[in-house]
Amino acid sequence: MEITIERLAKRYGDRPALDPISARIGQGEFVAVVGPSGCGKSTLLMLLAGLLPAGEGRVLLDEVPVDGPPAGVSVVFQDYARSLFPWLTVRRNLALAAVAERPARAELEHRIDRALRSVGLPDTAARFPWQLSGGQQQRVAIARALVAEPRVLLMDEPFAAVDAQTRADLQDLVLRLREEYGVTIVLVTHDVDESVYLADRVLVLSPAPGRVLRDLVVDLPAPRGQLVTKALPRFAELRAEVFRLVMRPVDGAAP
Amino acid sequence: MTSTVERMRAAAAPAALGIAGVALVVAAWAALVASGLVAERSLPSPLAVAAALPVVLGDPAFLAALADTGAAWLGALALASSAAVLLGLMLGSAPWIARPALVAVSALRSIPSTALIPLAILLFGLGAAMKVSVAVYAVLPIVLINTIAGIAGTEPLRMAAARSMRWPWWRRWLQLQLPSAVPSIVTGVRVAAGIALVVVVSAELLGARSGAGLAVVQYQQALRIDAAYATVTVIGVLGALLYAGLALAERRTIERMRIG
Ligand SMILES: Nc1ncnc2c1ncn2[C@@H]1O[C@H](COP(=O)(O)OP(=O)(O)OP(=O)(O)O)[C@@H](O)[C@H]1O
Ligand SMILES: [Mg+2]
Repeated sequence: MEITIERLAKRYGDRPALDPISARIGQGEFVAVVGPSGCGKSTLLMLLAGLLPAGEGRVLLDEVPVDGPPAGVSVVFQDYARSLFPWLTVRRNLALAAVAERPARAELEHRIDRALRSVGLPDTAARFPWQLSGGQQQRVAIARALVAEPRVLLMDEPFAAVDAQTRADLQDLVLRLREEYGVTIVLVTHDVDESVYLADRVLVLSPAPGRVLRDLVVDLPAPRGQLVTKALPRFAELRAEVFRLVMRPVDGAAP
Repeated sequence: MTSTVERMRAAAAPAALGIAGVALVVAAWAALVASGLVAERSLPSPLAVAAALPVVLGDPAFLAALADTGAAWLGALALASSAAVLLGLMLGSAPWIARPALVAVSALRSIPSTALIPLAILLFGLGAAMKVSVAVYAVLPIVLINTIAGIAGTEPLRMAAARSMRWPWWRRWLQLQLPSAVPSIVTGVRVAAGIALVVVVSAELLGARSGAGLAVVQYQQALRIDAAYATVTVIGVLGALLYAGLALAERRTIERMRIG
């Protein structure tokens, strides 16, 4: 699906959280959103997910305006512990992500097992979220988003609570998903390296209220690989560029 | 996870205190009777009451009365709780009705339920319906308020997740708001259980046709004061056991739900 963001703005009470933002995210494109804490990244994601009413402007999914959670969009929330259902097993948590499309029983079981295998947790289906570590819970939250087989995947710092090894694995998983399913991905992250390594474009937001400081095309060759890509001189350049923008935002920088 | 041993040790201290407390009360009671400050016929000694226990417990009429009280209590608790949860679920998802409804409920609650017993007798006569209706009146608001509070406490991010997964309203109700409210509801039911028992027995004392409360009155009128006290003791012990059981069930449920 293609996402079109048209002069989208949001305020909480009379405090602006997001200044008008415009961007177009193509079908199958991978866009990372970076910016200082509190600049409105989660707010932007909630707006894209149809979970918050827009203040101004609008979001279009394949030309259709978003006015509520659209079909085919999955969200991985920043706070996994508060978004999973602790009274249900991992399997039930995942099964409930697909209720809107009512897949057949066998198909659902198959999707659940595959999603858990993808995130490296094949043996956790019968356990409860609170019996898992923070990183494992975060992976369950990612698996839950996969069970619905989304065409748009919105992720809010999904790798924040996992160790470096798991993070690298999950990053490569997300790249693979994009290849396999042509899913459009918007990933919010604090991690500059991660944004450059994964994304086709990086949207750098200004401090609150967020606006687009820079829409940076990441012209690194595909397929990406942890060792190969990160060793490229171009990777270092892009990384430095994003880093500079996030650390010391220049007012009036060309979008 | 605490081990069973640790849990038993943790439970043993309050239990020991409880037993010591009961022993102290019984000792004070024995001393009071022995001192002659109160007449033996208005307060028999603990020993005399203990001696009357087998008589009371062996009396089929009393056991039937006890079963009657139990049925009225359970019926009232079940009726009030299910009605309150249903009502609470509806009100809880519509805060603009919930607020005025809560004000009305609080106003009604300021009328003590025992003051309504004469009215209930006029309306329902002296049968089980009277006891049950007064007890329902007394405890429904407790469970209702706890249900509404529990639903209001549903984690907003979980609501967002459910909306994003495009759950229909009834699924959000049953599989998110209701489970989120369960710990609060269980606490409400535990508190309601104690109050319902008091109200049912009070209704029996004040005029019901059957029940353990009535048995107290009947023993008293038959000048079996020791048996009357034994009856009160039986009701008290059963009530305490009930309360302990419910408190345990409440802890288990809250542990099981892991909300927080
Ligand atoms: N529900 C809300 N009500 C009021 N203000 C809010 C609400 N949610 C967010 N805000 C405010 O809006 C601003 C943007 O919040 P948001 O969560 O989108 O930031 P963020 O970029 O995701 O931050 P972080 O990187 O720390 O997650 C912040 O100043 C925050 O305090
Ligand atoms: Mg955020």
